[in-house]
Amino acid sequence: MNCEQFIALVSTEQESLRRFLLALCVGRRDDADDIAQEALIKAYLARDKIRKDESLGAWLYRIAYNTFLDHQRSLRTHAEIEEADMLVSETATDAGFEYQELYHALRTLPPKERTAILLFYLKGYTVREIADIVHGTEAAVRQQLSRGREQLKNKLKQ
Amino acid sequence: MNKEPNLEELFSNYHPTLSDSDAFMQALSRRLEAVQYVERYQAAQAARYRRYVVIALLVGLALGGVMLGVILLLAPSAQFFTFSVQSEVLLLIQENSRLIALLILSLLFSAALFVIFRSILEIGYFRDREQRLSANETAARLRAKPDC
Repeated sequence: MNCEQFIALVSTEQESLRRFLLALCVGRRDDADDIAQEALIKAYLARDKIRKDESLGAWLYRIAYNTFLDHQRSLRTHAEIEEADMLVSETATDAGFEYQELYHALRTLPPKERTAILLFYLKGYTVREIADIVHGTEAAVRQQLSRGREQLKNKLKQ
Repeated sequence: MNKEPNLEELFSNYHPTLSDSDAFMQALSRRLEAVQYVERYQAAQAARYRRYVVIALLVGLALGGVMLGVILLLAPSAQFFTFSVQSEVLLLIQENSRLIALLILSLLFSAALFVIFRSILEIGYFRDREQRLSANETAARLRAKPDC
């Protein structure tokens, strides 16, 4: 797969991927776009490693998820993550802060639970597919979904 | 696993405004171009190193063959060096002078080949590092101004 073919392939997926990353980054658009760019570069470099039985979407989401985790780790201290999260209201530029409530609720979830919830509800992946994407077991994903769902519901009720 | 209807509805209505897709894809294209440049450079470097290894191997084989030929062409009784002092150890060395000479010459040629090969690689490395620094600067400029 050459560069042009890769660009043609990802151009159909990039908006969906960025939407997922924007939710994962709880509305921090700059972070979401940076992670998307980095993930797509990594995907290009690993383009020959895609399994034949794997969909391009799931493969891209796996790389994006790993890149997101790397990005989280690069925020050295918990305080920095908290600080970055507090910037949501200042940097999120969704029309009329439409999704602030959702972002605020998602922010309370740990990254793994947030990812599971987003892949399940936003992207419509099955538990098995999510387990494959996040390199986890189906039981662990079920648990993350269950915990995340309860936490999200409680937070949104408030 | 069943979906929670409220959450499903919440996420089905999630359509945030994204930054301009064209600008995003243009920035990605530029970064991929930089990546391609590095890939091409690495492939060329690998090919160059392979060529060096093949050349060193061929030269080594040729010199080894020449040396072996010279040794075989000499009369079996010919000795490379003799000692006037009679000693068992020196006598042993004298009797095996051909073998010892071959060994010493082989070691010298191997060392010479190694030094030549390493010098070529080092020259290549410094030249490549210069190019890599230049490529990094280009990539940094692209990162800093992705839309330029």
